[in-house]
Amino acid sequence: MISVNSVTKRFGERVAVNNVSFTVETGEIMGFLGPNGAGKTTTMRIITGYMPPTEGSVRVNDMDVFEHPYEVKRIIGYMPEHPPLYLEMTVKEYLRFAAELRGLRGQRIKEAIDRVVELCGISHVFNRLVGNLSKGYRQRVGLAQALVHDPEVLVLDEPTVGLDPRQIVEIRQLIKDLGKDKTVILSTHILQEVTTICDSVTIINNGKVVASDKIENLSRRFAEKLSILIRVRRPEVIDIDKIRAIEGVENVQWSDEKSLRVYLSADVDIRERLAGEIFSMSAGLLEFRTETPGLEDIFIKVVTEELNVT
Amino acid sequence: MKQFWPLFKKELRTYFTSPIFYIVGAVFLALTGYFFINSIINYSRMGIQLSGSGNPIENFNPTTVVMKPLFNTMGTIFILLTPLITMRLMAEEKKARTMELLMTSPVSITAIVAAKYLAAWIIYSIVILSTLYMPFVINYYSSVVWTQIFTGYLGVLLLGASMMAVGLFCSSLTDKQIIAAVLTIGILVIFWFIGGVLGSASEELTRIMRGLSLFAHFDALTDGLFDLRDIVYLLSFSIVALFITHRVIDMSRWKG
Ligand SMILES: Nc1ncnc2c1ncn2[C@@H]1O[C@H](COP(=O)(O)OP(=O)(O)OP(=O)(O)O)[C@@H](O)[C@H]1O
Ligand SMILES: [Mg+2]
Repeated sequence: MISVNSVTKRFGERVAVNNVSFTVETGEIMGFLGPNGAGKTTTMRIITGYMPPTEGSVRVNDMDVFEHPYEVKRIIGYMPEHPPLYLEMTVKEYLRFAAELRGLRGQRIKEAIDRVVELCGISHVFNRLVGNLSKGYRQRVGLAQALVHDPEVLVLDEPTVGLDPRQIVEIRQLIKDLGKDKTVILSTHILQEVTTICDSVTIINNGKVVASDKIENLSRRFAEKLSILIRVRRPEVIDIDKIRAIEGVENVQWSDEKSLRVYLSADVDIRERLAGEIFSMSAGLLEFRTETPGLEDIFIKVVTEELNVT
Repeated sequence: MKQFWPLFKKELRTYFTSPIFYIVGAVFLALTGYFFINSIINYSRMGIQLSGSGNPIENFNPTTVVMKPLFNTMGTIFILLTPLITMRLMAEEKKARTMELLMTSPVSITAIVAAKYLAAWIIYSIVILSTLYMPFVINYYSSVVWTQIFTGYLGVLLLGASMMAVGLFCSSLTDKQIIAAVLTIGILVIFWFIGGVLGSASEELTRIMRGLSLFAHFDALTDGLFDLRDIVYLLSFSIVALFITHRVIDMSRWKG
């Protein structure tokens, strides 16, 4: 479990992280979103004990990161934004060093290395110099390094950057599997990644948390944007004013030649009436689909709203 | 000292797998070898001249005439070679961002400093002790005063302890190796020549400056004088430099 409590980090005058709080439970994968420079990397560096916060505290499995640095670091696996690689080592030497640094000894090192090499799919580059690997493979070695001591808590800063599409699918599945019994924080700019593998999401902007919840709760909270997409064969016979007149319809717009988007107010379910109305116009109904706001809509909404406020 | 061994092994391996160690060793052996042959030739010439004049000169023996200046030469050469051994130590970890791996692993800063420092000093010592053939060659043809050879090498090794500490300190200040190198040479030059060439007008001040000088304490040891104060000075110099290095690394965590 990770709990971040009112963490603030200043670099001189610049406030990189501003009073940030959130919790990630064991067995939960949290997606950490935010525009460039929002403070994701800085927050993760504070969680992993790389740098101290200016104010606030972080607890990992109920231990304060700065009071028990060694105990906490032993159970965290961190994959930084730039994989921390020694280019002059072979993959084997590097992983052995990473395992020893985390306190593994003897036979356990070999077992641990065998396991992550298999997990991250790097067995065929095992004896090559890290410096000679392609970007995607370096990224995988960086991930292997974070997993080698089988940590209970994983902090991954943009883990799938630079991977090819097939690798992305593999690594996402790997993270999803790991997340079943670990605590995982994962930052990314790919919203689809969050919807496919994360249980919850925290969105940060300008150093402040602007949304933090389970994904389905977030969607529900933003359900005021609920809309219905209607596609018809004969758009010319549609009487927009008649649809506007239906109680519970907020707005109606043509989204393209043949499709109509009807925005609804959240509390009334008028799908039946709406469908009846269209039907009576005999416009040739082709499609009738409820649209819930995607993470993308939510992201853009909270981030731009925040911008408007400041 | 958490995880000292893996860090220490890694540093040593990095030295042995990179060309820099071999280059430093080769340059050092070539230079000292050249000076060695030169002073042997000089020594025998002077010996022939002196034997003609008939009156023996005090301290005219190969240990004092050949080895002592060589110890000084070794120290002077290492003012320039030290940064080649040390500039990488911290600067490279920062540049390659591997600091993030070290500082998020259960590793203490003390272990990092100690591992890097000891590895550098061992590399230095290997290079220095590779000149041990010299006293044996002399002893084969003539004879050496082994106690003076011993204190001489002790002096060079302790001097190296101080020089490596300065180098490590400079490397912790920056992520650019070249800056670390220039700083190291600057600081070493000051502590080498202070009280000597860099003397001052006042007699009293010069004495104080000599007390601070690395060279003065080292010089006494190469004379075969085993004075605990010199040893304590050279050791304290290293410890202070290492302590400051530890502080610098600790403080720089706040800046990220
Ligand atoms: N070491 C540092 N010194 C000074 N400012 C810093 C430092 N690290 C980060 N910052 C600043 O803090 C802010 C947050 O940076 P951070 O790297 O955490 O953003 P991010 O959310 O990870 O962005 P990205 O999506 O681009 O990776 C930025 O304005 C950045 O310039
Ligand atoms: Mg970042």
